[in-house]
Amino acid sequence: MIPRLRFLFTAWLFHLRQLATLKLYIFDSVVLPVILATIAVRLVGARGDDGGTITTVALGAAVMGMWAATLSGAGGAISRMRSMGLLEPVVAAPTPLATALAGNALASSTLGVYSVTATLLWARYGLGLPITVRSPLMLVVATLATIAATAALGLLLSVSLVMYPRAQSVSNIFEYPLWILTGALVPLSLLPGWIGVASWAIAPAWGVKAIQASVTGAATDFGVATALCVVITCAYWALSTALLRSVERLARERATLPLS
Amino acid sequence: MSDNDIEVENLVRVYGRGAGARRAVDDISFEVRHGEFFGILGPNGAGKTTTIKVLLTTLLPTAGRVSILGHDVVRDVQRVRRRIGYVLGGDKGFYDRLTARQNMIYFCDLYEVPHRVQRTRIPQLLELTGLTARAGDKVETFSRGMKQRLHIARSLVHDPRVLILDEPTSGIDPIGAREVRDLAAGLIRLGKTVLLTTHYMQEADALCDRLVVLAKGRIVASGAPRDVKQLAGISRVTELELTGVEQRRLDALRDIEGVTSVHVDVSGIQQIVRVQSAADVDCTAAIVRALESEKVERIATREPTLEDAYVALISSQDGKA
Ligand SMILES: Nc1ncnc2c1ncn2[C@@H]1O[C@H](COP(=O)(O)OP(=O)(O)OP(=O)(O)O)[C@@H](O)[C@H]1O
Ligand SMILES: [Mg+2]
Repeated sequence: MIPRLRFLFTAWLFHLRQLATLKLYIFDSVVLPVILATIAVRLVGARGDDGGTITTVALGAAVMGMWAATLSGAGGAISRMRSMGLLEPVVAAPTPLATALAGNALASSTLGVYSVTATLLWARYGLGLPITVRSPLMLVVATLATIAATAALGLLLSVSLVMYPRAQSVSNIFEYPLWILTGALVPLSLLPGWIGVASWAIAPAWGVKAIQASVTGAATDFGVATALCVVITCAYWALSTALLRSVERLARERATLPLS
Repeated sequence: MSDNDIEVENLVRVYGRGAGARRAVDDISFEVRHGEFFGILGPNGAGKTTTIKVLLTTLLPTAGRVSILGHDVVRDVQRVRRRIGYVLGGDKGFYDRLTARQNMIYFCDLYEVPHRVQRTRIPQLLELTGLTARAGDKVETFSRGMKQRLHIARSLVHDPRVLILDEPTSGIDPIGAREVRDLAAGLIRLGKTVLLTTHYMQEADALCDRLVVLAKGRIVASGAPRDVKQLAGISRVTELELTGVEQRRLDALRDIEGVTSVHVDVSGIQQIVRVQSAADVDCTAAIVRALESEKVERIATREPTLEDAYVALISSQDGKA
């Protein structure tokens, strides 16, 4: 257990360092959210809304940045691992493949936290908006839960990436619908009912609700959203690990999985 | 337990199914003794990497039994993975934006090597592979030869008893290749058992105690390098360029005394004929006589290459089949 956690940490740290050297990736997770936040806040600001709405919108933009980081990160992480020739060595090692991939997915969503923080700071100090967070502690908890949820969803996506090298385009297609499903871009109440239903199964959507609740200080909403986020995240982890095990088995049997 | 570190019995590996199925490894058996330097020699597509991947547990055998240090590669996957080290050729397999030392840490943690052990082992392995001076540099700045030595260093992080090297010198310049070969030879002195694949005859000759020659998924020769060369039984090659000679007359070349094999490549109306013969007989005159009145565009005799050895081994195998 301890050695496995240590490897998880190493995989997280080293992947983060490797990612930090990739220019396109940095644009996605650092520059893009700030641009999105500026546009979103300007749109809402023009309507002369109160500080609470502005904060929610800024947060929505921040979370979109997190999505971009995670989806291009989790998707890219596997194909990068494959193209770096690291996928096969990790499969051939005693540590489960899921642990290495989890480290990578967490690294991507960690860069996402940066994007949340940067966006809020930019909205507050760059755009001079009245950002108000009722409960900073809840915000921290909700953000951590969202990181785990996003990483878990990334891991689940990565299973399909191991199976189908072309699934990268699938993850790119996912990026935009997920912004909508999480209610990050548009409040869910404005969308058709079925989209709201679909968003129930998306762990990070609950994470976003928890983040929004921490802004307004609604403790009950926060509790429910956080709990659901954690439960669904655990389900993702369990499902991913099980799937990865059978994917690995298939790869060894049929050799259809291009490990190298 | 026997003193064999690796045992391969009737290994078969088929890729694909139905009509498209292809036997990459077709019923091979061999064993590698403890402390031995063993080679698998074979041309492209012979099935070397396929065999290696079965040993590494990243491919399942279609049939047959393979065990390493007594552990079955299908049933005891985790035990096998903990006990073998391997190097798959190529300049990938690292976090290239990170340093050599950082990559070593990654692989140590991947193999659950305790930190206390890492502190002494990482410098030792970097020293062994001659990378100490560059340990703090990013791997992307390394030459292919250096990357290959780093591969060897990282394959040793968990101190495995068995080491598997797949074409460790391919794509590396002669000096780099010699360094890798020296390093591989040194592993035996550290008490390791080494299994190496290569398509360089000289490499196998210089390094291996014993070897098997693999062609089209089958073992066509085995034994000490000396035995294999004798088995190939060639030392002189005569090449001819002809046009429109009847097969019957070409077949007649096989009957010339000292000729071990005749191989014909046809391109258009041109025929390129490669005649292999024993060292002590000069067949040129006899060949010219046999082809009397035919149009011989070119005739030349040269020292045999590895390819010639394969041709001899494979065509003699075809003869038997
Ligand atoms: N994943 C795969 N799917 C289908 N066929 C494969 C696969 N991998 C290898 N083969 C085929 O199996 C045969 C043996 O390949 P293998 O890679 O084992 O040869 P090799 O001896 O390592 O050759 P090389 O010297 O080129 O590395 C080849 O004909 C190859 O095309
Ligand atoms: Mg190969």
